[in-house]
Amino acid sequence: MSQPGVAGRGRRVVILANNVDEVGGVQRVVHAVAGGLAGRGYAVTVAGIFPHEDRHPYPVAGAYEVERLLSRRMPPVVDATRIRHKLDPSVRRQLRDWRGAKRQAAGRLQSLFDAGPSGIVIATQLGTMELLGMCDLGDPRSDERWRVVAQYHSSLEAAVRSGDLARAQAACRDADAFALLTAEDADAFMARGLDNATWMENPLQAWPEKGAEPESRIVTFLGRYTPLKGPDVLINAWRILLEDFPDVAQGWSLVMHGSGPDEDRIREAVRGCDRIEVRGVTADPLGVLAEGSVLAMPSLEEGMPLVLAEAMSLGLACVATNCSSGVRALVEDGVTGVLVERGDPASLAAGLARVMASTELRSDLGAAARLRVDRMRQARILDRWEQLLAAVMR
Amino acid sequence: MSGESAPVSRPDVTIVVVTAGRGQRATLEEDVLRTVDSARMQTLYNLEILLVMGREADPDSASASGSQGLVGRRLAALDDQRLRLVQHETTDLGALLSRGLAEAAGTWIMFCQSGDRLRRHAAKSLLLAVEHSGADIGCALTEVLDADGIRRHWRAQGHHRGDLDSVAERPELLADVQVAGKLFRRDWVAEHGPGFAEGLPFPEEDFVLGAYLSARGISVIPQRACVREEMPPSGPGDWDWVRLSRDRVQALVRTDVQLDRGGTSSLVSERIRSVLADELPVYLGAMLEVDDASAQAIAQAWQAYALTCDLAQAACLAPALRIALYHLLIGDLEGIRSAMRCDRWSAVIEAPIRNQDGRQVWACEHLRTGPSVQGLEAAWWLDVTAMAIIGAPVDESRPCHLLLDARTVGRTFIATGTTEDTFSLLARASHASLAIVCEEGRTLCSIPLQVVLGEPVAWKADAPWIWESDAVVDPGASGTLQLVLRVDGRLNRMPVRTPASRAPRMPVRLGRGVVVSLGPGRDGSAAWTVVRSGWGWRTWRLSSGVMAGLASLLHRQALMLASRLATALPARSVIAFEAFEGRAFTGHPRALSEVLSQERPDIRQVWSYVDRAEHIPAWARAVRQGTLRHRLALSSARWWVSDGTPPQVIRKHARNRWLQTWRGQPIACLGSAELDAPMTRRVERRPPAWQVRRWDLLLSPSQYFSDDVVPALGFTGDLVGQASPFGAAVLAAADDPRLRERLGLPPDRRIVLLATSGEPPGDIPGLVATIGSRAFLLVARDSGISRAPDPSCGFAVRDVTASDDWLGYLACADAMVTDGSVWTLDYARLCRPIMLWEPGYQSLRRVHGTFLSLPDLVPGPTVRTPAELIVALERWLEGEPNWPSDLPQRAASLARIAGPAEPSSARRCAQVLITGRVDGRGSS
Repeated sequence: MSQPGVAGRGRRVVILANNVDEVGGVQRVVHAVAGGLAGRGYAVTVAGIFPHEDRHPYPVAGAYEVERLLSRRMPPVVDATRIRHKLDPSVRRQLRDWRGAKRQAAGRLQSLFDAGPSGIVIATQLGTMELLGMCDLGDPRSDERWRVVAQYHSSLEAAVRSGDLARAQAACRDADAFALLTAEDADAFMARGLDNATWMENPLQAWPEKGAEPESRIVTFLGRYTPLKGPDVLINAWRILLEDFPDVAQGWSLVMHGSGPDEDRIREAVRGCDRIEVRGVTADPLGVLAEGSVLAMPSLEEGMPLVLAEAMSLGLACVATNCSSGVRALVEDGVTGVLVERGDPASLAAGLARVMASTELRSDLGAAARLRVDRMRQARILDRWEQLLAAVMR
Repeated sequence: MSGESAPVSRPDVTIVVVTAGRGQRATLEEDVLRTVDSARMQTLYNLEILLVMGREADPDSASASGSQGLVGRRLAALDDQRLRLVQHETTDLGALLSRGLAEAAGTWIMFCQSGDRLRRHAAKSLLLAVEHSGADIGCALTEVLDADGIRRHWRAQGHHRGDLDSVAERPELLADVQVAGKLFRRDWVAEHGPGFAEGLPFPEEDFVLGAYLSARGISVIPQRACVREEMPPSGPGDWDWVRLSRDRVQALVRTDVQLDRGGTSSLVSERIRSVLADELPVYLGAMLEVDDASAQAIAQAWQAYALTCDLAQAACLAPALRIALYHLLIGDLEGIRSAMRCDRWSAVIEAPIRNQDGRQVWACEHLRTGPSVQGLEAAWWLDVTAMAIIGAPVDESRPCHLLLDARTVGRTFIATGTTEDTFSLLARASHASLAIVCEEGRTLCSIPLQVVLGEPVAWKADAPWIWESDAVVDPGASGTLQLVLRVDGRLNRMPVRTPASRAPRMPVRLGRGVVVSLGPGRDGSAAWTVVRSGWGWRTWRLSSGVMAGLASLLHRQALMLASRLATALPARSVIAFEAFEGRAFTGHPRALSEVLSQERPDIRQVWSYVDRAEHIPAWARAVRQGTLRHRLALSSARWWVSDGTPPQVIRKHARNRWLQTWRGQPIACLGSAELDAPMTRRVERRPPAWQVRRWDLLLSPSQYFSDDVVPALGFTGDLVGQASPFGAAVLAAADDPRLRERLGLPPDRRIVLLATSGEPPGDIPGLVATIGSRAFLLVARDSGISRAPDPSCGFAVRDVTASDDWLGYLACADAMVTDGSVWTLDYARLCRPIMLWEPGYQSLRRVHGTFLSLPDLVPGPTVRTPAELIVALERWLEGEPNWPSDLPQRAASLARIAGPAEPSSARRCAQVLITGRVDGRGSS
C-alpha cells in the first residue's frame, strides 16, 4: 500500500470558514493548514462565506487561493418561530434577505466545486456545514463525489450549552469525518451518535528554538477583552494575590495584551491597581509571551486554545481554568501546568501563587509543557491531516 | 455490476451479503436492495459488494426465478462495478457464507444478511481500527430494531474501545457471536478459521467463536456498524420456538466443544453466564406465548443443556430468572411461567412470599420438598430477598391480574379474569373496578367488578362503562386496561395481563362517542388506543382548520373575559396553590397549605391539578387546570402560591399577588450567574424576565439562596427571607417514629436516596443485586420525570420523583447519593451522610457551572464509578465507612449553608399570606 497521504497530493482541497479575514483562532488555523497543505502539493482554496471589515494580511503568497463567497456581510439570523414574527413585515424582509444571501453563497460555492475535479472540502464551522447541505456534492455512492471533513472547534460541554449539539448531529452525521479537537471530545460526540468522530489538534505555526526564562517575573495574559476570556476574573485574582500572598507577589507584574469591546472598561478597572499593565493587540504573540515566565488563562470557555499551546511551546508555566477538554488535553495539573476552577478568582490566585513562588516549579512545568505540545508542531499536525485526507479518500 | 467471474482488483473490504430468506417472497428484493444500497453508501469506496443468493427450494415454482431474476436485473441497472452476484445451489446459510468467503477478493471481509443495513461509516471505521492495531478482527456494535421500532444494542457488553491481544482480555465479547458488525482479515480467516458449519443451525457462531479464539488481535470500536431488524411475527406460532430451541441448544453444544478445546476457564464461565442471563430467558419467556405441548418441548430441550452447565453461575441472575431456571431444572412448567411472568410483566407476584431464616423466599410448593440441584438447595434458588417484596405498601403491590376473556355485547363490556391474590388485596378491597386508564395515569371510565374469592380469585366485569365526571379523551390517547382496588384508603392500580398470543384484539365502545381499540401492550398488558375521540373532537375535525382555530380563539377569549369579569367581583379570601406543575401535593406550597388549614381554616384554599385530584386534601377545593373554574379561582384569589410557572395565558390582575417558592435550592448555575458571559443560543435555565416580573414575593430559604440564586434570577422584589416551611416539615417528619411504616418502607433496611439532577448513578440493578438485601433504594430526579424501575429490581427500588410523600421520603433516608441535586441542601439539614456522584457533578459543573463546590462540602466520600459507589455503600452498611475525619464539621457547615428551618418558618410565611405584609412592609 502506498504511503498514506503522498498519493493524494495534487488533489483539490477547499477549506470553508465563516470568514477568513479576521484575526481569530479559527482563521489562524485555516490559513496555517491551507499553507501547509499547499506546500505539500495540494491544490488548496480557502473560502470565506462573507468578508470581514478588518482584513488581516495572512501570508498567502500565492500558495493557495482565497475566495469570499459574498461581497458583504451575511444578514443577521432572525427568530421567526412565532406567528407574530411571521406576520411582521420587517422580520419577513430580514428572513428573505438572509435566505437569499445563503442561496447566493451556496451558488458561488457550487460554482467553485464545479470548476474542477472533485476533492475534499474541510468545513471548519457548523455554519459552513449547513451551507454545504445546500450544495450538490455528487452521488454519495460514487467515487467522484466530494469528500467532507467537518470540524468543530469547541467542546461537547460548550455544544450542549449553546445548542450546537443538535446542529452538529444534524449537519455532520453524514460527513466522511467529523474532527474534534481532543480524543475526549471525539468519544463524547461518538456517544451522542456521531460515529464518524475523530480528533485533530490545531497546529502550532512556529516552534521557538529557545524557551522563555523561568526567572522572569512577568505574568502574561494574551487574549480578547471579552467576558468569555475572563479578564475580569484575572484582575480580581491579581488583587487577591497581592493581598493574600504579598511575599510571593513581590516584584511580579501582570501584563495584559489584547483587544476587544471591553478594552476601555478593563483599562478603567485596573486604574490604580498595582503592577497591572494593559496593552493593546500585539503582532508578535510569541515575542510577548517569551517576556514572561507564567501564562494566566482565565477563560470561561475555550476549545483548544492556541495561546495556551504557544505558551507551553515556550516553556512557560501555565495557569489555566479547567473550562474545556482542550485545556485538559494540554494541561495536566502539577505536571504540565496548573488547573484552576472556572470563574473563581480565589482559585486562580492560589494557582498563580503556587507557580510564582518557585522558580524550580516553573522550570519543571515549562519543560514538561514543551514536551507535551511537541506533537502539535505544524509538520506533525500536517502529517496527521494528510493521513486524515488519505483516509477520507479511500 | 460484474458477473460471477470478474471480481474488482484487490478491494480493501468485501462486504458479503447473503439472502437470509427471512422475508416473504415479495419483500426479498426489497431486503436485498436495501442492504446493497447501504453497502454502496459506505464512505469507504474501495469495496467489493458480493451478493450470494441461494436458489429457491422449488425450482419448478412459477416464482422460482422471480426473485433472483428480479434482483439480478435491479442490480445490473445500478451499473456499479463493485457489485457482484453469485448464485449458489442451496439456500443453506452456512453454505452461502462459505461461498462468500471463498469468492471474496478483498483484503478484509464483512458479512451481513439481506435486510440488514450497514451504517455509513461502518467499513471505514473498522478498517482504520484494524489497520492501526494490526488485529485480525474488528468488532463494532450491532443495533437491533424490534417490531415496536425500539432500538437496542445487541450484546453490548465488552464493546468499549480497545485493542486486545486475545479475547481472554475481554470475555464478555463471547456474548456477541453474530457475524454482523465485524471485520475479518480474509486470508488469515480462510486459512486458520473454522469456517461456517454447513447444514447446521446458526453456522456463523462456530466461525466467530473460532475466530475469537485464534485471532492474533481484536480491535473493538464503540461505533455502531449494522442495524438488523427483528422479524416481526405476523401471527401466533410464526416463530417455531420448539425448533428454535432445539437448534439453539445444538449450536451451543457444538460451540461448547470448540470452547473447551481452545478456551480458558474464565471464557467458559463467562459463556455459561451469558447463556443463562442473555439467551435462556428469551426461550423461557416464549413459554408464556405458546401452548403447553410446545412449552414442554422447549423446556426439555433447555433442561438437558442447562444441567451440563456450572449452575453456580446462576447466582448472577435476577431472582425471578433464577426461580424460572430452577423450575426448568425440575421440570415444572407452570412454575416457569409464573416466574417468567414476574420477570417479564413488571415483577407481578403470583406466589406467597415468606420470611425464612432472615431471607425472603418464593414460597411455592417446592420450597419445602423441592430437590437440590448441583448441591444448591431449593431455598437458595427461591431466594427473593433482594426484591424486598414483603411489606410493600398497597399502592406498590403488584398482583398478577390475568385477563381470560373479553367481549362486548352492545354497550356492555364483559371481561373475566383471575388474580393470584398474594397480597390479599382483593380480599381486603372496599372497591374494585376495571378501568380504562391513560398513559399519564388518568382514569377515563370504569366498570365495577364482581369478585369471587378463592385460589385464584375470580373477577368479572359486566356492565356499560361509567365515565369519570370530567374525563376528556384526546385524539391519539392510549393507555392500559387496569384493575383499580381501594384498600385501606389507598389505591392499587395494575394493568391486567395476558400473553400477546391470546390478547383480545377488538374495538370497545366506551360511550360519549369514544371508541378504543383493545390489543396487546408491553409487559403483557392489555392496552388500548383511541380510534374515535368522541363527538366534541369529531366536530372539530369535521370543521375546517380555520373554523377550529377560530373556535379555539373564541374559547380562549371567553375564558379571559370570564376571568376579567371575575375581577369585578369582590375579592375573596382565597389562596390558590399549585405544586410540581399540578402533579403532586408537595413542597413549600403543601407545608404552607397545611399550616393555613390549621391556623386559619376560614381562608379558602384552592389547589390546581393536571390529571389526578386524589392527592388534594379535603380542606381545599380541587380545580383542574385549563378549565373555567381554574381561571375564575385564579382571578379571584388574593394570593397565588406556586413552586412552578403558571401558564402564560393566565393574566395577573392588580389584586392578585404571587408568592413564588422554589423546589429545593439549586446548586447548578442559572443563566446570568455565569458572570454575564454572553453566548449565542445558550440554554436558559432561569425563568424568562417577564415571568420573574410577575412575582411579588420570593421565598428564600437561606442566605445562600438570597446571595447567589436570587441575583441570578434577576429578581429585585421582596424576599420572605430565611424561611423554609418545607425544610421545617422535613425536620419534623424525621422525628416521626412511624414514618417508615406509613410510607411502606421496610423497617429492617437502611434507606438510600439517589437524588440526582440527571440520571441516577451507575447500574441500579447491579446496586440492588449487591446491597438489595440490606438497603432499600429511593430514586428521585430533579427533572421531575418518573421512570418505572427495572422490574428485575423488584421492590427494592422505588421512584419517588413525583410522589406526594416526597417530604417523608427525604426525611427517612439514612443517606443520600447526589450529583448536585436541588434537594442536597434540604437533606443536609438532617446532618446525615451525603455521597457525591462525581461524573454527574462534573457534567453539571462543565455544562452549567455550580454555585457551590460540592466535593469540599459534602459529608461523605466522592465516588467516581459505579464500583466505587457500591464499595462506599457496602462499607457504610457495615459500619466502617472510612470517611474523612472532618465529617461532622462538613455536615454542620453544609447545614448552615442550607439555612435554618425552624418550626416557625411555615407560620411566618402563612402570616405573610394572611396579612399581606413582609416584615412590616407591603400591603394586603
